[in-house]
Amino acid sequence: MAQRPEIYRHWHQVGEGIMRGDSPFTPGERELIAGYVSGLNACAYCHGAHTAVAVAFGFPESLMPSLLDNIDEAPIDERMKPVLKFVRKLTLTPAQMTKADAEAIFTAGWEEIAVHDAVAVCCYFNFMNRLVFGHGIEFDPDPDKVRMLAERKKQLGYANRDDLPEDHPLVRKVRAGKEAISSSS
Amino acid sequence: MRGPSPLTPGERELIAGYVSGLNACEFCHGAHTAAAVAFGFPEDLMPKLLDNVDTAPVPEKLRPILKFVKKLTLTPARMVQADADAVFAAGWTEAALHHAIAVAARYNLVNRLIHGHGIGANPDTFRARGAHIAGKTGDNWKENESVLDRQGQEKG
Repeated sequence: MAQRPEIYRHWHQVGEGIMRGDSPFTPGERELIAGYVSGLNACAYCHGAHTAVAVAFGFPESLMPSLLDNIDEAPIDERMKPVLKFVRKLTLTPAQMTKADAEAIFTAGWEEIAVHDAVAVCCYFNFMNRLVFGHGIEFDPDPDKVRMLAERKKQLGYANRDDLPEDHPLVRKVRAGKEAISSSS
Repeated sequence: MRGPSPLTPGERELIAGYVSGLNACEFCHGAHTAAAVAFGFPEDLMPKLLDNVDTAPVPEKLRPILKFVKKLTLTPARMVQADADAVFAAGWTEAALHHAIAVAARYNLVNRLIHGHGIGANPDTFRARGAHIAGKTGDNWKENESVLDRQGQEKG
Protein backbone atom coordinates (compact mmCIF):
# COMPACT_ATOMS: atom_id res chain seq x y z
CA MET A 1 0.00 0.00 0.00
CA ALA A 2 2.91 2.30 0.75
CA GLN A 3 4.15 1.60 -2.78
CA ARG A 4 0.92 2.89 -4.34
CA PRO A 5 -0.03 6.08 -2.48
CA GLU A 6 -1.98 7.18 -5.58
CA ILE A 7 -4.46 4.40 -4.81
CA TYR A 8 -4.32 3.83 -1.07
CA ARG A 9 -3.55 7.29 0.34
CA HIS A 10 -6.81 7.47 2.29
CA TRP A 11 -7.18 3.78 3.04
CA HIS A 12 -5.71 3.97 6.55
CA GLN A 13 -8.40 6.43 7.54
CA VAL A 14 -11.06 4.07 6.16
CA GLY A 15 -9.55 1.29 8.29
CA GLU A 16 -9.39 3.48 11.38
CA GLY A 17 -13.05 4.49 10.93
CA ILE A 18 -14.29 0.94 10.39
CA MET A 19 -12.17 -0.77 13.04
CA ARG A 20 -11.89 1.91 15.74
CA GLY A 21 -14.65 4.46 15.12
CA ASP A 22 -17.86 4.62 17.17
CA SER A 23 -19.76 1.34 16.88
CA PRO A 24 -21.98 -1.01 18.87
CA PHE A 25 -19.09 -3.48 18.49
CA THR A 26 -15.99 -3.07 20.63
CA PRO A 27 -12.66 -2.82 18.79
CA GLY A 28 -11.95 -6.35 20.09
CA GLU A 29 -15.19 -7.70 18.61
CA ARG A 30 -14.34 -6.06 15.27
CA GLU A 31 -10.86 -7.61 15.35
CA LEU A 32 -12.53 -10.96 16.05
CA ILE A 33 -14.75 -10.53 12.98
CA ALA A 34 -11.66 -9.50 10.96
CA GLY A 35 -9.69 -12.58 12.04
CA TYR A 36 -12.72 -14.81 11.45
CA VAL A 37 -13.48 -13.52 7.92
CA SER A 38 -9.78 -13.83 7.04
CA GLY A 39 -9.75 -17.39 8.36
CA LEU A 40 -12.74 -18.26 6.15
CA ASN A 41 -10.80 -16.87 3.18
CA ALA A 42 -7.75 -18.88 4.32
CA CYS A 43 -5.72 -15.66 4.38
CA ALA A 44 -2.96 -16.68 6.81
CA TYR A 45 -1.56 -13.16 7.00
CA CYS A 46 -4.73 -11.27 8.01
CA HIS A 47 -6.08 -14.23 9.96
CA GLY A 48 -2.93 -14.55 12.05
CA ALA A 49 -2.50 -10.84 12.58
CA HIS A 50 -6.09 -9.92 13.47
CA THR A 51 -6.77 -13.01 15.59
CA ALA A 52 -3.75 -11.91 17.63
CA VAL A 53 -5.20 -8.39 17.97
CA ALA A 54 -8.52 -9.91 19.15
CA VAL A 55 -6.50 -11.91 21.72
CA ALA A 56 -4.68 -8.71 22.76
CA PHE A 57 -8.14 -7.21 23.38
CA GLY A 58 -8.97 -10.12 25.71
CA PHE A 59 -10.53 -12.96 23.69
CA PRO A 60 -9.09 -16.40 24.57
CA GLU A 61 -6.60 -17.89 22.11
CA SER A 62 -8.68 -21.06 21.74
CA LEU A 63 -11.77 -19.17 20.57
CA MET A 64 -10.87 -18.61 16.89
CA PRO A 65 -10.28 -22.29 16.00
CA SER A 66 -13.58 -23.25 17.62
CA LEU A 67 -15.40 -20.46 15.76
CA LEU A 68 -14.00 -21.63 12.44
CA ASP A 69 -14.97 -25.17 13.35
CA ASN A 70 -18.55 -24.45 14.45
CA ILE A 71 -20.04 -21.09 15.46
CA ASP A 72 -22.98 -22.71 17.28
CA GLU A 73 -20.77 -24.64 19.67
CA ALA A 74 -18.04 -22.03 20.10
CA PRO A 75 -17.70 -20.55 23.62
CA ILE A 76 -18.71 -16.99 22.78
CA ASP A 77 -21.45 -14.58 23.84
CA GLU A 78 -24.68 -15.77 22.17
CA ARG A 79 -25.24 -12.25 20.82
CA MET A 80 -22.15 -12.53 18.61
CA LYS A 81 -23.23 -15.78 16.96
CA PRO A 82 -25.75 -14.38 14.43
CA VAL A 83 -23.25 -11.60 13.62
CA LEU A 84 -20.54 -14.14 12.84
CA LYS A 85 -22.97 -16.27 10.82
CA PHE A 86 -23.93 -13.19 8.83
CA VAL A 87 -20.34 -12.30 7.93
CA ARG A 88 -19.60 -15.95 7.15
CA LYS A 89 -22.36 -16.05 4.57
CA LEU A 90 -21.47 -12.59 3.19
CA THR A 91 -17.88 -13.76 2.74
CA LEU A 92 -18.48 -17.19 1.22
CA THR A 93 -21.79 -16.85 -0.65
CA PRO A 94 -22.58 -13.11 -0.87
CA ALA A 95 -25.36 -13.46 -3.43
CA GLN A 96 -27.37 -15.71 -1.10
CA MET A 97 -27.92 -13.12 1.64
CA THR A 98 -31.55 -12.76 2.72
CA LYS A 99 -33.49 -10.52 5.09
CA ALA A 100 -33.57 -13.39 7.59
CA ASP A 101 -29.78 -13.14 8.01
CA ALA A 102 -30.16 -9.55 9.22
CA GLU A 103 -33.28 -10.36 11.27
CA ALA A 104 -31.30 -12.91 13.29
CA ILE A 105 -28.93 -10.09 14.33
CA PHE A 106 -31.82 -7.84 15.39
CA THR A 107 -33.42 -10.73 17.32
CA ALA A 108 -30.17 -11.10 19.27
CA GLY A 109 -30.72 -7.52 20.48
CA TRP A 110 -28.50 -5.51 18.16
CA GLU A 111 -29.66 -2.25 16.58
CA GLU A 112 -29.61 -1.63 12.83
CA ILE A 113 -26.25 0.16 12.91
CA ALA A 114 -24.67 -3.10 14.09
CA VAL A 115 -25.51 -4.75 10.76
CA HIS A 116 -23.94 -1.78 8.94
CA ASP A 117 -20.78 -2.08 11.01
CA ALA A 118 -20.51 -5.88 10.66
CA VAL A 119 -20.95 -5.53 6.89
CA ALA A 120 -18.24 -2.85 6.81
CA VAL A 121 -15.69 -4.98 8.69
CA CYS A 122 -16.55 -8.01 6.55
CA CYS A 123 -16.16 -6.01 3.31
CA TYR A 124 -12.93 -4.41 4.50
CA PHE A 125 -11.33 -7.81 5.09
CA ASN A 126 -12.64 -9.36 1.90
CA PHE A 127 -10.78 -6.48 0.28
CA MET A 128 -7.61 -6.82 2.38
CA ASN A 129 -7.47 -10.63 2.01
CA ARG A 130 -7.51 -10.23 -1.78
CA LEU A 131 -4.79 -7.58 -1.71
CA VAL A 132 -2.65 -10.01 0.30
CA PHE A 133 -3.38 -12.97 -2.01
CA GLY A 134 -3.06 -10.88 -5.16
CA HIS A 135 0.40 -9.73 -4.15
CA GLY A 136 1.45 -13.06 -2.64
CA ILE A 137 2.32 -11.48 0.73
CA GLU A 138 3.48 -14.11 3.21
CA PHE A 139 2.82 -14.29 6.93
CA ASP A 140 5.68 -14.51 9.44
CA PRO A 141 4.20 -16.74 12.18
CA ASP A 142 6.95 -16.01 14.78
CA PRO A 143 4.74 -15.77 17.92
CA ASP A 144 6.78 -13.00 19.60
CA LYS A 145 6.62 -10.85 16.48
CA VAL A 146 2.90 -11.53 16.01
CA ARG A 147 2.22 -10.53 19.64
CA MET A 148 4.30 -7.38 19.36
CA LEU A 149 2.57 -6.30 16.14
CA ALA A 150 -0.85 -7.11 17.64
CA GLU A 151 -0.06 -4.95 20.67
CA ARG A 152 0.92 -2.09 18.32
CA LYS A 153 -2.32 -2.49 16.36
CA LYS A 154 -4.29 -2.51 19.62
CA GLN A 155 -2.70 0.71 20.81
CA LEU A 156 -2.10 2.59 17.55
CA GLY A 157 -5.03 1.44 15.45
CA TYR A 158 -5.00 1.82 11.70
CA ALA A 159 -3.94 5.40 11.14
CA ASN A 160 -0.95 6.16 8.98
CA ARG A 161 0.21 9.65 9.88
CA ASP A 162 2.47 10.07 6.86
CA ASP A 163 -0.23 11.76 4.78
CA LEU A 164 -1.83 13.78 7.55
CA PRO A 165 -1.08 17.17 9.11
CA GLU A 166 0.68 17.11 12.50
CA ASP A 167 -2.38 18.39 14.37
CA HIS A 168 -4.79 15.79 12.90
CA PRO A 169 -6.61 13.80 15.64
CA LEU A 170 -5.33 10.50 14.20
CA VAL A 171 -1.74 11.76 14.26
CA ARG A 172 -2.15 12.83 17.89
CA LYS A 173 -3.59 9.40 18.70
CA VAL A 174 -0.72 7.55 17.04
CA ARG A 175 1.82 9.76 18.82
CA ALA A 176 0.16 9.14 22.19
CA GLY A 177 0.07 5.38 21.47
CA LYS A 178 3.75 5.30 20.60
CA GLU A 179 4.60 7.17 23.78
CA ALA A 180 2.50 4.70 25.81
CA ILE A 181 4.32 1.74 24.23
CA SER A 182 7.79 3.21 24.78
CA SER A 183 7.06 4.13 28.40
CA SER A 184 5.70 0.64 29.19
CA SER A 185 8.71 -1.21 27.74
CA MET B 1 -10.93 3.79 -11.04
CA ARG B 2 -9.89 7.11 -12.58
CA GLY B 3 -6.42 7.91 -11.28
CA PRO B 4 -3.37 7.57 -13.54
CA SER B 5 -3.00 3.87 -14.35
CA PRO B 6 -1.64 1.50 -17.00
CA LEU B 7 -5.29 0.36 -17.30
CA THR B 8 -7.70 2.72 -19.04
CA PRO B 9 -10.84 3.80 -17.15
CA GLY B 10 -12.81 1.59 -19.59
CA GLU B 11 -10.63 -1.44 -18.83
CA ARG B 12 -11.08 -0.81 -15.11
CA GLU B 13 -14.85 -0.57 -15.57
CA LEU B 14 -14.77 -3.86 -17.51
CA ILE B 15 -12.93 -5.53 -14.60
CA ALA B 16 -15.43 -3.97 -12.15
CA GLY B 17 -18.43 -5.26 -14.12
CA TYR B 18 -16.84 -8.68 -14.58
CA VAL B 19 -15.92 -9.17 -10.90
CA SER B 20 -19.42 -8.01 -9.91
CA GLY B 21 -20.94 -10.49 -12.37
CA LEU B 22 -18.87 -13.32 -10.85
CA ASN B 23 -20.20 -12.29 -7.44
CA ALA B 24 -23.73 -12.15 -8.87
CA CYS B 25 -24.07 -8.55 -7.70
CA GLU B 26 -26.73 -7.29 -10.09
CA PHE B 27 -26.43 -3.66 -9.04
CA CYS B 28 -22.67 -3.25 -9.56
CA HIS B 29 -22.60 -5.65 -12.48
CA GLY B 30 -25.27 -3.70 -14.34
CA ALA B 31 -23.89 -0.24 -13.60
CA HIS B 32 -20.22 -0.97 -14.31
CA THR B 33 -20.88 -3.11 -17.38
CA ALA B 34 -22.86 -0.14 -18.75
CA ALA B 35 -19.93 2.13 -17.91
CA ALA B 36 -17.54 -0.19 -19.79
CA VAL B 37 -19.93 -0.07 -22.76
CA ALA B 38 -20.03 3.73 -22.51
CA PHE B 39 -16.21 3.66 -22.74
CA GLY B 40 -16.47 1.65 -25.96
CA PHE B 41 -16.57 -2.07 -25.17
CA PRO B 42 -19.28 -3.93 -27.15
CA GLU B 43 -22.51 -4.77 -25.32
CA ASP B 44 -22.30 -8.48 -26.00
CA LEU B 45 -18.80 -8.82 -24.52
CA MET B 46 -19.73 -9.15 -20.83
CA PRO B 47 -22.09 -12.15 -21.18
CA LYS B 48 -19.42 -13.90 -23.25
CA LEU B 49 -16.74 -13.15 -20.65
CA LEU B 50 -18.90 -14.55 -17.88
CA ASP B 51 -19.65 -17.59 -20.02
CA ASN B 52 -16.03 -18.34 -20.87
CA VAL B 53 -13.13 -16.00 -20.28
CA ASP B 54 -10.88 -18.21 -22.46
CA THR B 55 -12.95 -17.77 -25.62
CA ALA B 56 -14.63 -14.35 -25.21
CA PRO B 57 -13.72 -11.85 -27.96
CA VAL B 58 -11.65 -9.61 -25.68
CA PRO B 59 -8.27 -8.09 -26.64
CA GLU B 60 -5.71 -10.88 -25.98
CA LYS B 61 -3.68 -8.61 -23.77
CA LEU B 62 -6.59 -8.23 -21.34
CA ARG B 63 -7.37 -11.96 -21.04
CA PRO B 64 -4.73 -12.90 -18.41
CA ILE B 65 -5.80 -9.91 -16.30
CA LEU B 66 -9.43 -11.04 -16.42
CA LYS B 67 -8.42 -14.60 -15.52
CA PHE B 68 -6.35 -13.23 -12.64
CA VAL B 69 -9.23 -11.20 -11.16
CA LYS B 70 -11.64 -14.14 -11.66
CA LYS B 71 -9.44 -16.41 -9.55
CA LEU B 72 -8.79 -13.67 -6.99
CA THR B 73 -12.54 -13.19 -6.63
CA LEU B 74 -13.70 -16.81 -6.49
CA THR B 75 -10.78 -18.75 -4.98
CA PRO B 76 -8.39 -16.13 -3.54
CA ALA B 77 -6.35 -18.61 -1.50
CA ARG B 78 -5.33 -20.46 -4.66
CA MET B 79 -3.42 -17.60 -6.29
CA VAL B 80 0.09 -18.59 -7.42
CA GLN B 81 3.03 -16.80 -9.00
CA ALA B 82 2.06 -18.25 -12.39
CA ASP B 83 -1.15 -16.18 -12.34
CA ALA B 84 0.91 -13.00 -12.07
CA ASP B 85 3.51 -14.25 -14.57
CA ALA B 86 0.77 -14.73 -17.19
CA VAL B 87 -0.12 -11.04 -16.78
CA PHE B 88 3.53 -9.99 -17.16
CA ALA B 89 3.98 -12.32 -20.17
CA ALA B 90 1.16 -10.43 -21.92
CA GLY B 91 3.30 -7.30 -21.66
CA TRP B 92 1.85 -5.62 -18.58
CA THR B 93 3.99 -3.95 -15.94
CA GLU B 94 3.92 -4.68 -12.23
CA ALA B 95 2.00 -1.42 -11.76
CA ALA B 96 -0.74 -2.75 -14.05
CA LEU B 97 -1.12 -5.82 -11.86
CA HIS B 98 -1.28 -3.62 -8.72
CA HIS B 99 -4.09 -1.65 -10.31
CA ALA B 100 -5.99 -4.76 -11.44
CA ILE B 101 -5.74 -6.19 -7.91
CA ALA B 102 -6.98 -2.89 -6.46
CA VAL B 103 -10.03 -2.88 -8.75
CA ALA B 104 -10.83 -6.54 -8.05
CA ALA B 105 -10.45 -6.07 -4.29
CA ARG B 106 -12.57 -2.92 -4.40
CA TYR B 107 -15.48 -4.67 -6.10
CA ASN B 108 -15.25 -7.63 -3.75
CA LEU B 109 -15.75 -5.01 -1.05
CA VAL B 110 -18.50 -3.04 -2.77
CA ASN B 111 -20.42 -6.16 -3.95
CA ARG B 112 -20.60 -7.31 -0.33
CA LEU B 113 -21.79 -3.87 0.81
CA ILE B 114 -24.63 -4.22 -1.70
CA HIS B 115 -25.47 -7.82 -0.79
CA GLY B 116 -25.08 -7.14 2.94
CA HIS B 117 -27.54 -4.25 2.81
CA GLY B 118 -29.88 -6.00 0.36
CA ILE B 119 -29.72 -3.19 -2.21
CA GLY B 120 -31.69 -4.16 -5.32
CA ALA B 121 -31.04 -3.20 -8.92
CA ASN B 122 -33.15 -1.35 -11.46
CA PRO B 123 -31.99 -2.39 -14.95
CA ASP B 124 -33.76 0.64 -16.50
CA THR B 125 -31.23 2.95 -14.89
CA PHE B 126 -28.07 1.06 -15.84
CA ARG B 127 -27.49 2.81 -19.15
CA ALA B 128 -27.87 6.27 -17.61
CA ARG B 129 -25.77 5.31 -14.59
CA GLY B 130 -23.09 3.81 -16.81
CA ALA B 131 -22.91 6.98 -18.88
CA HIS B 132 -22.63 9.06 -15.71
CA ILE B 133 -19.92 6.83 -14.31
CA ALA B 134 -18.05 6.91 -17.61
CA GLY B 135 -18.38 10.70 -17.71
CA LYS B 136 -16.62 11.06 -14.38
CA THR B 137 -13.16 11.36 -15.76
CA GLY B 138 -10.17 13.43 -14.77
CA ASP B 139 -10.85 17.15 -14.68
CA ASN B 140 -14.64 17.07 -14.71
CA TRP B 141 -14.91 14.57 -11.83
CA LYS B 142 -16.03 17.20 -9.32
CA GLU B 143 -18.45 18.78 -11.75
CA ASN B 144 -20.11 15.43 -12.50
CA GLU B 145 -20.11 14.57 -8.82
CA SER B 146 -22.15 17.70 -8.09
CA VAL B 147 -24.52 16.90 -10.98
CA LEU B 148 -25.10 13.46 -9.46
CA ASP B 149 -25.59 15.03 -6.02
CA ARG B 150 -28.18 17.41 -7.46
CA GLN B 151 -30.00 14.56 -9.16
CA GLY B 152 -29.93 12.63 -5.91
CA GLN B 153 -31.50 15.58 -4.11
CA GLU B 154 -34.13 16.00 -6.81
CA LYS B 155 -35.05 12.35 -6.49
CA GLY B 156 -35.19 12.95 -2.75
